[in-house]
Amino acid sequence: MNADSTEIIAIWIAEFCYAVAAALLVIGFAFKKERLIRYSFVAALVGLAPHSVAIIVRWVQAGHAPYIQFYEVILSDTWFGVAIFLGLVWRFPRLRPAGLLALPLTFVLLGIGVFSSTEIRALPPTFKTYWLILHILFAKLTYGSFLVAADLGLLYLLKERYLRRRGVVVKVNPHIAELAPEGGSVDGLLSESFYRRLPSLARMDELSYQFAVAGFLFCGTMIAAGAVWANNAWGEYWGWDPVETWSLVTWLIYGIFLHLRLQRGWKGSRSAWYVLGGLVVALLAFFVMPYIMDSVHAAYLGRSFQQ
Amino acid sequence: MALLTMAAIAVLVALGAIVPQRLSTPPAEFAAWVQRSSIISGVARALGLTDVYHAPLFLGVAGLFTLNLMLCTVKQGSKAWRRYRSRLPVLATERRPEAGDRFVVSPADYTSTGGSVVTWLEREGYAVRSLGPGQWEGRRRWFGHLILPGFHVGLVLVIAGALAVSLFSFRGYVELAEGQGFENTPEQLLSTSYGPLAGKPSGEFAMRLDAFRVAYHQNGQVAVRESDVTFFHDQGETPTVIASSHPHSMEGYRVYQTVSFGWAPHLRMAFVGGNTAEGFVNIGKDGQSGLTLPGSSLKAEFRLDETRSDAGVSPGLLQAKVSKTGGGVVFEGQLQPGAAADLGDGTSLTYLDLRRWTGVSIVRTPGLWVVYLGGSFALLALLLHFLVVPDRLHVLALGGERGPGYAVTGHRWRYQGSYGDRLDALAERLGAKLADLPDGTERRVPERLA
Repeated sequence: MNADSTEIIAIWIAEFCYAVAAALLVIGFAFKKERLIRYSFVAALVGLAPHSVAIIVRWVQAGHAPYIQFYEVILSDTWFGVAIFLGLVWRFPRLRPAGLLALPLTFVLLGIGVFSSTEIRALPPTFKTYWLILHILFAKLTYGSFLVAADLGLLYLLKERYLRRRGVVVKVNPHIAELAPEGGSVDGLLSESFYRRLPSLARMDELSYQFAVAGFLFCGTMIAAGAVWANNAWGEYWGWDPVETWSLVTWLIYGIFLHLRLQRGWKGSRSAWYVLGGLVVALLAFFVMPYIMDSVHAAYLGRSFQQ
Repeated sequence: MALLTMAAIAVLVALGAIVPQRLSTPPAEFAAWVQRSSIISGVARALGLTDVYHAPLFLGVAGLFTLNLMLCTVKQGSKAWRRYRSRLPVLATERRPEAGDRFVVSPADYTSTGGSVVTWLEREGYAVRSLGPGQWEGRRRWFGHLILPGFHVGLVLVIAGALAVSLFSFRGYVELAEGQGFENTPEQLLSTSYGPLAGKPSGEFAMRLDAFRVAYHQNGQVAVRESDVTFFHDQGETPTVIASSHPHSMEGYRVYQTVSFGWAPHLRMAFVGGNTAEGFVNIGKDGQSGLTLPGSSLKAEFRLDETRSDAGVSPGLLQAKVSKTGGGVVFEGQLQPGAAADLGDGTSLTYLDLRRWTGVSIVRTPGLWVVYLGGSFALLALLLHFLVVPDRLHVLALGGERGPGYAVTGHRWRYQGSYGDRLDALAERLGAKLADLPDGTERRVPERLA
């Protein structure tokens, strides 16, 4: 078996595992089957192994980390997304359902990647710098963090909706609190529910915020590393390139989020909706803008290299 | 204000990325867009969106944003100081509870003196001071109060540095053949651009291109572009290598390897009376026409044998066509290195050898270090904001009708839903720890709580 076929087989196995993981999670969530959700976590964990193999094979074959083609970007971004999600679940096992967004999105993105060109492209001379590695590493960490923040936001909204429908008042300020209707208790209401295993709303809200802050930090570092690299390559640290501009927009969007949170006390559902919207902007910046705009970053998608 | 200006900047730069920009779009493409979408382009031009980063609207919003950042830094600093000085609600009833406040009562029996509370708090990393009988205050990571103001200071520095760069920066471009020298003066640069307050280069250094190398990947893409250069400056000579993404700093300038390169026949013109002139004629990969020969008004067209070999163009054969300015071909034929061509009227052209030429950018960006300093500062502050959250505790020994135990009040300077749980655990540990101590110690209870 040559390296080419090893990579292709590995990536298809990973894709299959993620498909199973996503399906199990969605079905488990829809029909409140906790066992299926546990299995989905295992399937995602199993999928990460061939995914890692595919990345290593690609890396060895190309002679550089997988980051300069659409296929490679998808390959590595989805790996980071799944790894960060699994790390979260490892630390907080009760958050297994948080893959509700991450796993289907990984399945779809990796599917798109697999069907795109897998041709290996050589590195242009301007790419031979450590700043590029930092720039790209933090781009992937940014994507993974924003994805998990949105995941937790989604889970928050689902649990909150469940509680509200059962008469629970969710108080947001000064702290998020779940107030049961008179004569009852939240634990009692949740005792028969699938949601009882999830952390409290306050905990999910807090974790979502922490991942958003981490993403904001990573995004800032990515922009800074890209600026230093651009200055070393072209003598311009900022060129208003569409993709770098949209990265700035993403950073500002999350900067606004931090202000809303710290100054205006935005917590709970408003915060959750915001991080979901933020993810949409981040996806636009990472996966759409390089494709539709004339950009230095177009090389990511296998378009012409700007050397 | 912060929210409004950030949102406005986000919207404007997003539009700037979508709407074709006059300065960065090829003129023909821009004109075609204006013609194709007359209504949209009309609106965009009226709002200044076709040059959004220089539009008064954008600059105004950016100015407001900067002003807001500065005011915010001052406000945050004074707020942090007030909070640092304030007392927690359990001791200062006039203070309204804030988002970070938590109040718990230790379930353990009171069995200890104040000294052990101090020891315990210190072990937990708190700096402790006594506030009176049976009252202690512990502060931890107090410098965390400076982090958010520090982040904003970092952003102000980034903006200030960017302003300095745009006002004082200089950029020039020159093409050099191997062996050719250059003194850093505007006259020798092929193109220049200056910031409004930028000074002109005045020969602060000189340089010579010793050799240029280009290597290719198997698929024909360029893999390496680098130049051996020697810099001449007041302290002497510095030989070095510049390559893509690896410029060299010299006397306040940075010298960059650019993407342009090609071949340059090294020529010698000989004129009537024995005068000679030597020079290079840079020709690109696709060939160029109408190049002026050194020391003359003759125009030449050159074409190279493009067959690639270890030595580059093989074997350096030059197809030359030389014409007078007004027309009329005076020579047409193939030249080998070292061969001469008679151009008539006692003038001859000697093709000495073939060398590579490459483009070099000379850039000066005073203030860039301020951008880097501010960016590093802001990112570091953001990281610390994430990791270091100041908090403090007030511990009161309780007694009398309220029952034995400790009242513990905490305040954490960032919202954390689970802080209450942590404080509970802390109070419990405090109680458990003190419960282990021997009985019979003095009870000191504040009168107003007893």
